[in-house]
Amino acid sequence: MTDRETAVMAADLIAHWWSRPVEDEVSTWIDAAPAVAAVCERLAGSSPSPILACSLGQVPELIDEYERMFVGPGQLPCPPYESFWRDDVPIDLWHSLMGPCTADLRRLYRELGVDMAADAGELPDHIAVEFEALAYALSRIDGSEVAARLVNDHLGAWLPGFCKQVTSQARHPFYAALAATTLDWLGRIRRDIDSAAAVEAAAPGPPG
Amino acid sequence: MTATSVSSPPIRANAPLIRANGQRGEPAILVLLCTDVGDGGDCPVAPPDLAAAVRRDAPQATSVPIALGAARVCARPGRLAEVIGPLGAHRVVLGCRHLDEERDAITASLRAAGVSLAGIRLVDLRPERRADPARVAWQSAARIVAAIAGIAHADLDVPEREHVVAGPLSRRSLFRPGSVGRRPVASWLEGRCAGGAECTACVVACPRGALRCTPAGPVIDEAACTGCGACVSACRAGALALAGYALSRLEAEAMSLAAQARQAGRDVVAGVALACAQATPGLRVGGDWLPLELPSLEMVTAEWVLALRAAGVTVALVPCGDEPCAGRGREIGELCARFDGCPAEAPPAEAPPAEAPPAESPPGDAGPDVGSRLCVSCGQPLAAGLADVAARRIAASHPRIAARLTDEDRCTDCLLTGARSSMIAVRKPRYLVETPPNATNLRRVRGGG
Repeated sequence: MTDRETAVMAADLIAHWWSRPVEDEVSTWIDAAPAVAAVCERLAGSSPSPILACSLGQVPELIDEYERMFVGPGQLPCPPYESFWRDDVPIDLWHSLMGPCTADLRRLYRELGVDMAADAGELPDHIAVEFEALAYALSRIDGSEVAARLVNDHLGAWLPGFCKQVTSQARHPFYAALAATTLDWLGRIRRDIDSAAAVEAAAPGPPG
Repeated sequence: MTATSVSSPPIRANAPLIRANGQRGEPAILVLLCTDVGDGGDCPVAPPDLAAAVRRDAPQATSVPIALGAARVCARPGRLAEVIGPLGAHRVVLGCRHLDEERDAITASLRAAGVSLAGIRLVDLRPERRADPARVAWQSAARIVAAIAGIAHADLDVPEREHVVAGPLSRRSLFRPGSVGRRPVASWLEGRCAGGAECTACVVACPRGALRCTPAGPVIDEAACTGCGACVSACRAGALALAGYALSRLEAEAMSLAAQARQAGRDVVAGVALACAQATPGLRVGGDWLPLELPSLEMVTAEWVLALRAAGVTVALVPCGDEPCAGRGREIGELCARFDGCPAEAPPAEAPPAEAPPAESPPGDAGPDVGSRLCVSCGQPLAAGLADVAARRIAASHPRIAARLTDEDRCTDCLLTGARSSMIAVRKPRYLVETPPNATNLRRVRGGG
């Protein structure tokens, strides 16, 4: 697995884990634990994979916890949407959805050649959607620039606050572990992207 | 008879244990290295190094108790049973420099000790002449670690079925147990077949028509089966198997070899060679390639090659002299060359009658341009793409590749790619769909870079 492949898989895994748990898919990833472990190992220094901390029997509890934390009804401890967490917008847009960043993300996705699926059932700035887009961008040879913008302008801007909140509010160890893993892996992906950009910048440009 | 009664030097049956928490009766792996494997009569790998290497390159295998011993087993292969029997190991990795001469006697002795063919992994460690000793030592260790990773995943439930090769058999050979003419043939595992008469993937894949479908499942003509493994890699459910060549073992071994090759770098090893078992004696330790031994290249699917290349290593295909094996090597080479425009590597020059996969796509056979689709392995635009040959099969196991590369209308269902590989797997996108590429989008992405 190349570094790029590892990054794609890591982003895909995170997108999966921040989605609503589905029994079939959880079992698939438990079966794929060696592959997950390989990703963890390659992303050196990362925290242990959260999927290893949960078992099939816990899927109902996972779903309950996911809905309590991220879906509702009632007040959400940790809304998983970027616009909610961005504070670099006019104060009347604080803690609201469909902010400027949502529109910006939509543009980024279109530049990448993808769009929200009709049955996606989520907003473009949901954490899982952003990571899925990151995985897609990293899997494309011409997606580096979009991946860098996703990481630097979006994910990196709101995930630290969100993950801190998840860690403090989670009642299931899976989500606390996932918050730590997400930050770890994002940091690693970000360093890889930055170093690749530096190498590219240092390369001699075309003549003339 | 105790474990220490074997010829001098005695096998160190109780020490050192890499992981000694196995209970009696629990499947364990016994690793035996010939004492003359390393230069100067030492093991090429000191046990602590081997333990570290297994943890690093075969992490899945560390949950299985592994015992390491050193003994000149090939000198008295008939007495191996006396060593293995008391240890109760069901999986044995044996590294030896004299397998050419003693393979059958060693196999027979291991069988007598209750180790089935599915649990035996013999690693030929005969070095190349004039090879660098350091390189020989490193490659020996790499092969042993990969063998441990593989055998930990071997499917021991596969029944041993053997067929005597048609051809001249000497009277003397009939008196030798485990004669050289024997080789495994495919077995059908009834409980695992999901398709019954509906799925005919194995029947279609068999190049010799040795399988036919009945409502109860496939029937194997053991006289016609040559044990090439084509049906094994074609079966989506893992219901066909070849004792000693479990797909899970091959995949684990391949990925371990790939990881080690990548770590070592191209100065030490050029890459992984998928090699027919008849051709592997040509791939001595100390050469450029780490070989993965297969019953025949007919077992290889293009997906394996692509997965290994996606893992960052160069892949060579080393067929034997048989036309079906060599032909398959050419097919895969052509497919890979057409897939991403990157030619498959030529096999090692020393390999016996190896036929090189074509270095580039056949002229005039490129097919229509598939637009902006890119190779997931190297990132280059596809010339013809996997699309026109195979990719529906990949769709089952690799949705992202399928989403990028499949063109179902042009798929000829040629079975060149297998369906069941766990080496690469990315989940299906849930929220995003690809929009048709348009000039504006592409220009913006490219222009911004």
